[in-house]
Amino acid sequence: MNEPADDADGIRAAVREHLLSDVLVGEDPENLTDDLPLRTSGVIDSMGVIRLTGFLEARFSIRIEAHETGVENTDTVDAIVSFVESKLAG
Amino acid sequence: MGETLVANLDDAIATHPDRVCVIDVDGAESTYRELDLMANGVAAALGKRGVGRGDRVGICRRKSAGTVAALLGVLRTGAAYVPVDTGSPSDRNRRIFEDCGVVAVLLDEADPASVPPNAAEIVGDPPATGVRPSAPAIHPEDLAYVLYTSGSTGHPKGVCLEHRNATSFVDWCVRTFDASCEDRCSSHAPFHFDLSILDLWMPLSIGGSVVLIDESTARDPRSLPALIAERRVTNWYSVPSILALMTSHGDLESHDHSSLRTVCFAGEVFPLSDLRRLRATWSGPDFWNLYGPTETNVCTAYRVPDGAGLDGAEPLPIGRACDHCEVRIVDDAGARLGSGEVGRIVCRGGPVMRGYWGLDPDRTAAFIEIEGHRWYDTGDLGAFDSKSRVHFHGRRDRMVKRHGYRIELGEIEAGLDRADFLVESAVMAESTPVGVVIHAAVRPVSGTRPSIIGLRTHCGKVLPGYMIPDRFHVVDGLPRTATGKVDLPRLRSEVILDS
Repeated sequence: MNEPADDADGIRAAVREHLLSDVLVGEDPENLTDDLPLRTSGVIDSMGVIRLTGFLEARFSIRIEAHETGVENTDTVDAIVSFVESKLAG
Repeated sequence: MGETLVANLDDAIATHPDRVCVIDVDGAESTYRELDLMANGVAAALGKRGVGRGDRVGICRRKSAGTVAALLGVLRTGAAYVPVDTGSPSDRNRRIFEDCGVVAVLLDEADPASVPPNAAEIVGDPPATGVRPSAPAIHPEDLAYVLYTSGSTGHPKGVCLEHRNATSFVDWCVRTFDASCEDRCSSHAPFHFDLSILDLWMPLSIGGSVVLIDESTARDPRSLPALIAERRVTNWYSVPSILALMTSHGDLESHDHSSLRTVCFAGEVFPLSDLRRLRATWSGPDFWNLYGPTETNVCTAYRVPDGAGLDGAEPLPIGRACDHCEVRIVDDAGARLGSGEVGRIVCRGGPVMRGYWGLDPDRTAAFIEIEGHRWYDTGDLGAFDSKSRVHFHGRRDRMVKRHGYRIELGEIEAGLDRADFLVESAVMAESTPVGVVIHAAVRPVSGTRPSIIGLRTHCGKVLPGYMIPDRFHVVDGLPRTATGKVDLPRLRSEVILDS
């Protein structure tokens, strides 16, 4: 299977696929909008953040520090995509 | 050792005034003398509001030296402390405080939604003072703290522990782990969790140091190894899941952990493969598997063998009864069972709780009478082996352990049932190689279909994060048995096996 490219669309697709198969199994993909609050609404709890971080590190070969996993970088799909882009731009 | 937590800590303050008492989450150190002054300030602030012997005081504060001083300040007034999860919904915390009738709540920030109407709200650290307020005599049988655990009816239950219950356990810890004033002990668990009793009161009773770990670092397997090295932690205590995560994600080999002397774990089963890997990396310290519900502190302990002794495929025993209590395996009628026979694990003696808040001990199903004595029935099943070690054989009821947290599945159902878009729900747990997975089957109001996002958002408002189900299944109806109860085995086969 071809992995999507590491541009914004590719990152978005990978993040969505992870969320829909991890904490949102059974959800209609259309409900997962790019600005949906994930952390502040309780959709993702602390263990979900650990799994998300592990997924992003493995998928994009990046290293994420503990202080970078706060709400500012992980509360929405948009925020996660921007964060991964900034890590890749290094 | 004294017979109250206050006597032990006051003795440590008098003997070791200049030793480091608390290493705060940011590394700042406070001495025993400084803790004493901070605790005086808390006791004075509580005294002004009329708090005294026999009262309860809520604690909704993040970990800090000031919070440790707050616990001591509460105890010095003769009251008991009631710690809650700062990350839980305010509404749940207020219900806990209302249940046990706290007269004051200590908080980091003002949060009227979590404070009952008649309770005083004390925000932040009261000014430290060298003047020790006059204090009542504290007795060993006085209540020291109330720890709330998940309750099957949807209402958390308050486990009431007296000073003598705690000191009996602390004394056992000091002897068993040969603890001294040189020790630097991790405080990994939050203060509303029963592991905190060992974390705090063992070092504080003997002049040792408590190394506070804030809640976000505590969940981060990649920050903890550096913290253990930097703070030169000698005694580690946590649930196994974070140790397993540190083993797989923490790059343990690149840190100097030679300060570690004792590693204790409790709260859930440690998967053997992870334990073998950790033991191979941390070959120096002694490892202990501790067992005991909040109601008994710790009642059995097993010293984990070195590498070769972990080669078998059998789960580890939970160990022999600690010498400050008595543990038996009994049948449903209370008769003792022989080695190899599986029965109820029951316990009596020093560390066993007084009872649940607001419930008559004589009418508490968890207490059973055997041979004229009151025993606490843990709800766990176990069997002795030929060496008098207990082996754990699961639960009799609907309680599960996840990430070390006790979860009554009924409490999750009660939380789901508060959603006005649901008619009914049933929650089940599935054991998998990666841990317990919680499934919720929900029946929505006719003609509607809630989104998974909506379900999770609702749960985030009414339940602590660790209780939010992993999988939701929207169903048209729940199967019933002939007597009208939810047919959980059938639902399990329909829902979990299909997912």
